[in-house]
Amino acid sequence: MASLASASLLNRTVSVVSSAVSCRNVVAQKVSCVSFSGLRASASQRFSIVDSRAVAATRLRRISCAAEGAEEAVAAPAATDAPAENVAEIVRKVIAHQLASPLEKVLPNSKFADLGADSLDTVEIMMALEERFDITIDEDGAEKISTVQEAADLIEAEIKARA
Amino acid sequence: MKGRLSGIQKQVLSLHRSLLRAARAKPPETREQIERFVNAEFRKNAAIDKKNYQQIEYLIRRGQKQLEMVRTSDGFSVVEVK
Repeated sequence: MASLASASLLNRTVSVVSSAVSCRNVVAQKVSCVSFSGLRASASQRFSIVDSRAVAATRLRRISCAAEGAEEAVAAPAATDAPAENVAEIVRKVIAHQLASPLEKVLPNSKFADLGADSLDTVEIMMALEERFDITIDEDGAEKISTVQEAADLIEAEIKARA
Repeated sequence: MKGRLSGIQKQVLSLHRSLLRAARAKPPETREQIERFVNAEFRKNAAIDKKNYQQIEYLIRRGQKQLEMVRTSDGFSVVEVK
């Protein structure tokens, strides 16, 4: 859970901000009320990666530097009943959507081939995932992937590498 | 399936990917048309015998030309020129 992980990061500022992370609107609001140019990059990424714990934590660390004195503007959101989805969950959804198969069938250890996906489908899936997470998966990486979990792992690594 | 792809198969997949990437730069409606067209073309030709190099090479060249057109043009109509 993003909020728990980042709450332990340090001070009060962080925990106030972190409670906002599972709610995009609040994050948006938060970013807009802190005028700190270093935040621009993370603001533009927020829709694609808001569900990623790793990146969210990084962003929180950055925000917390700028958030001094802005706390009142962050009025603790009544937020956290919608937990941030993790990467693996989103990956499953994207794949299920691409293959038009029911989500229950797309399990972490499902092989693309077993899901009825051939190499062309895999290309489409990878492109959709790239876009969803705003990352670039290189071809070598994409070709090694054969299960849903491997895709999720690759994406997590990619997000971390970029953060 | 993965990791055992031939060179020519990789080339085809790479072309597929490049076309979808190029389509991203287009306005949503055009993009969707291109994606549908591209995916359908690859799907349609996926059943070609993998030993039929002549045909496959020809399709790859055609796809590369179409890729150039997608990259350089504003529209979509050119893509359908065969």
